[in-house]
Amino acid sequence: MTDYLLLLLILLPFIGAMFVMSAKSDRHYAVNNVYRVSIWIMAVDIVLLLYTFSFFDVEKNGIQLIEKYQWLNNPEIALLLGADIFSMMLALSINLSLLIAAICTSRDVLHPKTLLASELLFISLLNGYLFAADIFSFYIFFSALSMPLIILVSTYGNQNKKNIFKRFSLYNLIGATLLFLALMLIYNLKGGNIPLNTIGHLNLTGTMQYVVWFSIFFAFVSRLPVWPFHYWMASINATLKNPLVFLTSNLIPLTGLYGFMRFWPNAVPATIGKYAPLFEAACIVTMLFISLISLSHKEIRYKLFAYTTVYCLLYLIGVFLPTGALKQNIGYSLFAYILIITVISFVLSHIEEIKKQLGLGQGILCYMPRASQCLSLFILAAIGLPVTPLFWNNFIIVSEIFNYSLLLGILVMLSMFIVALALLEELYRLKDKSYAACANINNIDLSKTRFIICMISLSILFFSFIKPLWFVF
Amino acid sequence: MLKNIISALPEISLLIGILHLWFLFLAKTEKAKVYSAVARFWLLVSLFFSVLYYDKTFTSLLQPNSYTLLFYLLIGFFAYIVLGLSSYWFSAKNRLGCRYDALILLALLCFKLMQETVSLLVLFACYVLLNVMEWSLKGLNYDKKTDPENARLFWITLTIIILFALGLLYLSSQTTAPLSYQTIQTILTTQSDSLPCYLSAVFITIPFLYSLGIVPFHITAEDNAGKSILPVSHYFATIAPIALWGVFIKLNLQVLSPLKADFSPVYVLFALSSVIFGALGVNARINLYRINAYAKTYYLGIMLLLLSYFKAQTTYASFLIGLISVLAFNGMYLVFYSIKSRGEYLATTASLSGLAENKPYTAAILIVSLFSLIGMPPLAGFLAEMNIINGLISQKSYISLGIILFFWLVLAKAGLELIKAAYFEHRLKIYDTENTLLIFYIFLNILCLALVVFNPFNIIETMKDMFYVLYL
Repeated sequence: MTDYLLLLLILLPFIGAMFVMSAKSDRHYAVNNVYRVSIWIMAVDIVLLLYTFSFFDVEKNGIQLIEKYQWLNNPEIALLLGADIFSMMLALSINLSLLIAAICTSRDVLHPKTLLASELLFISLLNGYLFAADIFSFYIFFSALSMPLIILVSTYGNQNKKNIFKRFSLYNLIGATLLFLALMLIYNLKGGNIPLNTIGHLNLTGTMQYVVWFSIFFAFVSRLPVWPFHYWMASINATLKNPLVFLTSNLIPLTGLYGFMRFWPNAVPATIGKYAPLFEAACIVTMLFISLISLSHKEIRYKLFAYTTVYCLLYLIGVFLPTGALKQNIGYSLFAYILIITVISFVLSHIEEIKKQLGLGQGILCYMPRASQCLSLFILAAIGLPVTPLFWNNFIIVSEIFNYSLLLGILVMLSMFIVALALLEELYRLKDKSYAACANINNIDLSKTRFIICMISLSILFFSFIKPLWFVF
Repeated sequence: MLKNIISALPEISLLIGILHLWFLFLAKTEKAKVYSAVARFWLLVSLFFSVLYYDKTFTSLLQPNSYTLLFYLLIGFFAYIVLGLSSYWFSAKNRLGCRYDALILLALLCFKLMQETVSLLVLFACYVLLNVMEWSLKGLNYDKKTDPENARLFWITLTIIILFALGLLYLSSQTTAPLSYQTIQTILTTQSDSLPCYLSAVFITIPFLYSLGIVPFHITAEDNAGKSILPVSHYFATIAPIALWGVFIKLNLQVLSPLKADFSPVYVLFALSSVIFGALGVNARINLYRINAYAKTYYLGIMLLLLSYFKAQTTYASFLIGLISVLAFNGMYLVFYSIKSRGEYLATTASLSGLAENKPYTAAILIVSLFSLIGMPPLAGFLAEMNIINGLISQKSYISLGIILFFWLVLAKAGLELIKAAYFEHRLKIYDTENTLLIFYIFLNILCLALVVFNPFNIIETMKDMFYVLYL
């Protein structure tokens, strides 16, 4: 079984998605069944991930647990799977956060079958993307990842979803086509499929190196909310109400980040690398603008989106730094970041739902002590309370940025500060008693189960703060 | 004698099928499904004997081999679906469909002979017969409206056939031997500088470009799909392109190859024009059949571009792309058969509105077909995309590659519009109940796309081996 662990991690959610799709949707018990099965599959996937960790040499760098599956003989394409500590951490945090979101999402949603089947498909493809160890597997999962997201955005987007769908699909298609072009050029140059970790040994020259590297660059940028490519993401992510869909949509930029992580550091030649400051400038402009917009925006959902964007770009700048030592830190920080967003997202969904039901606005947290505690704790953790690995690792990343460029460091800090201010301001509004409308409101708080889940998440983060890989035995 | 009869069993089966249909007609059978079942039965018999005697022949004018078998099996497969689905259309219209079934069997016979022949005279005869047959198929549109366009198209077709005949006449004047592929190739090799010889080769090529609908010979391509009845449109989208492409490849490699240096740039020009025209046309139309016709033009452009290098790798890639695109087009036609409201088959993009709500299986085949056409991995279209890019990079045709990729995105935009209508628009029409057999065909088509993707039993490699027999 150990020879097929990674494949199993991809196939299990895929089979689950097939099961969910084949279930009847017209009966209440069938929907409940679909939920139970989906949650169990996600849970088993996490157990399998933890089991996979036990075969992992955490001290060792590079790809481990290599699995090879022949696909086509001519042209010869074999799917190569493998994982390193970074991809394992990312897979664990994403699986865990989607499980939490699935448990905490209200079951009274539109098209629950579509939601859960797409989520399981997304998990399967994302696991595949994180464990892809050769250029073709990487491209296949990179491109296929947009499929479940297209379905989710089209089903749960806002009124403008038709146009968003078209824009989103075209953006992704352009990115995927560019990546495919670059990979086919590499394929032809090398005479076959190559492992991802040998990308650095490519001897590309002349125009070819520009075509290949800029195609790869734009392919990954198409998944990131960087100016001037940011518009589609803002129009989608900031409008999604369902926490599971919001989370999934916010994980997509991480796929672009992961792509850069796999392709860029130490692989890109100096002739291309010299353009990196231009991209860093674009990142910092985006960070500043989006944080300033979030400050003026009234919607807390938008503020959360701004927060995720700023932090995602922070990690991206970290990836682009000439030092290659930050990979592990970014991995640990991302682990906490994803869990924090998950919890904030579902608590916010609960608050928004109550606001909509009761027509209440600010000060609502005064009547929801559990939600108030959760939201306060996690917002503080998100902006740097020293209880999670986010604190340590972001500290190191930002220090390295300062080390690299003082101006860049100041601007990064400034945008992080503004976005933190925006979140705290909203938290204050939600907690401010002077805005509370009436006092006779009962049973609107988070359920005990959800509260316990928040606390478990916080415990996981706290243990990771003390020892990042505490769950590896 | 007996040996000859046995070798001719695939052709004889088709002829018996036509006779059987005629007898049923004389016996006043009134069910379209019966005619369709009979036609499909004889088609299966023909396919069975083709597999059994795949390299046997009753005349030296034909040279069947694995290559011809591969194409015959493929067109046989699509013909089976076309015949099966047409019966529902004819039943809904209270028509027999007898003539249609017989014409399809006759078309298969023509295609089979065109594939297997090594004589240009047989090829010409079959081409003429095929045009007559296709003209009759287009005449099955019983609206009885006189279209002034028809007369013009008739004269264009006739001119092209006359050009074909002139080319053959000139070449036959250059030799006393029978007009076999080998003889013509020798003439073209020895007289490659002669203008009449060159023009003769051009006159032989044009009819195929015309029938395939390659720009600038695409005059009838859109109307074949758009003005014909649904079963005829289905025939033009699936059977005709794959069959004619098989013949065209063979003609180019076994007859026209001495002129490849002259033909190649012209093919590239036609191919890129088809790509551009096809992609723009898809975006400009709202009739689903016409959209499909333009998408076909786009893909045929890519196939011609790959053929223009006259290399084994790119030629095989052109075949594979043709197969995958025709599978996707077939999937689209399954959707067209499914969108029926109060007995009327709908044909506009707006008629797809709300499809996903009502017909999830049909919407699934639509999305799979369209994503496959767009080249989304791991669907079959991804393999096509890979072969195209790989083929063009290996030939260092970077400009062509750029043009194709750009118009790929233009084509994808139209595909996304269709998905948008099916999944996001509100329902405008109440669809009729879906036929169970249609669902069977939907699954069959998805299965075929899956077979291409998952490559069980090395099916792709087997097809490749069969294709490469052409180079032996």
